[in-house]
Amino acid sequence: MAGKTPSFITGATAKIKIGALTMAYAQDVSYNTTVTTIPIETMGRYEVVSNEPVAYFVDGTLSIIRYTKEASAMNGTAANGNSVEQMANTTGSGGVAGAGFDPARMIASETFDLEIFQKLASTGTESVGKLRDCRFTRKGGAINKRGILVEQFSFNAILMDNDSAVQVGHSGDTDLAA
Amino acid sequence: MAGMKPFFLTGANAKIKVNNVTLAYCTNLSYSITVNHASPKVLGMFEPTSIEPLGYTVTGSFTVIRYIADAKDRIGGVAPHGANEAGNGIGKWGKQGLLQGLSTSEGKTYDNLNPAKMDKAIGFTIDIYQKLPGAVLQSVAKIREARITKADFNIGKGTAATQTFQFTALYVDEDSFLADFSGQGQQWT
Repeated sequence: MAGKTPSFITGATAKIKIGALTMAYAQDVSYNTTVTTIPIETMGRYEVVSNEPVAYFVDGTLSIIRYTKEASAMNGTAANGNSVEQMANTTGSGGVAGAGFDPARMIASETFDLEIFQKLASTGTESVGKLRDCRFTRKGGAINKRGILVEQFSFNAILMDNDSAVQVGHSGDTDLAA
Repeated sequence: MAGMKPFFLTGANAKIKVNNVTLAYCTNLSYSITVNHASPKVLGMFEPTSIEPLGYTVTGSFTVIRYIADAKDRIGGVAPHGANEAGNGIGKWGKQGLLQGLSTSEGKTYDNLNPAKMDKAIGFTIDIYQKLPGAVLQSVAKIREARITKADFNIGKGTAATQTFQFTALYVDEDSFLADFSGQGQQWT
């Protein structure tokens, strides 16, 4: 059975895009979709009657190896470095994710989409999941002797599509509609 | 026994309509039906002779996360799902513009908060539904002839602005019974 190509999603075949821009120096990404349930408990029985879903949350983390424009000659690097200020929402109105960390611009900061792809053996990619309307909630960095600077980001999102072909939808109503 | 669907009425599958418009940004609602009773006590008995119903009142409150008029146009970008173009203040809970003056049966909830129009304010209806699969609404309760008695606006550091409305009403119908008029035949007969 020789001739197999890499089939599974691994760190080596994964690709992450924020606002449609490739994060080529991302080290890891994780996400959680949490559905909160409440147990319906009644007298006269030990088990719960039902676990009723009442809320849905999406959050996650992301790590990126940081470099400045000094590294622009390196293969695959961006000309102006890869700080959060360079993460432009090219699918929206051009806002940058960095605005979410600037108190002066926070009022106009925009959400962004974060999408995870699998690089295919042939050319192209296949979407694995899309986290929609993300906002960074935390940014941290650490560097030490013999280490490289890695920035960690935490984010939350509104919805997560399991792949781009199957979109999840909003459950709410239109306000003040008859 | 797999195959259970969400069954019970929870905040997540509830829908509130006030004055026949959906309050999509409502966070909670409560109502109380109070039946006042008197218990006549007479000499020579330890227990009351009877429990006599005297009155029936309905009160309650609900809270709405507020956003401003024309927020979608003035802020720009992509608005949260379901937000109303004209904001969600109480003045928008009904027919708008020219249609506003044409309705005689639809309660103008905001008139309850305007001293100049309080004498013309009409009672309105509050409907509570459970959302069922297939976009079906099942009525849980209907609060009839409600009037706003108090509107509390609240904003604080780290929270979204909310407005809590207290109301009083004449009747509450529930899915299992209808509350009816009790004074039949008493007046001018």
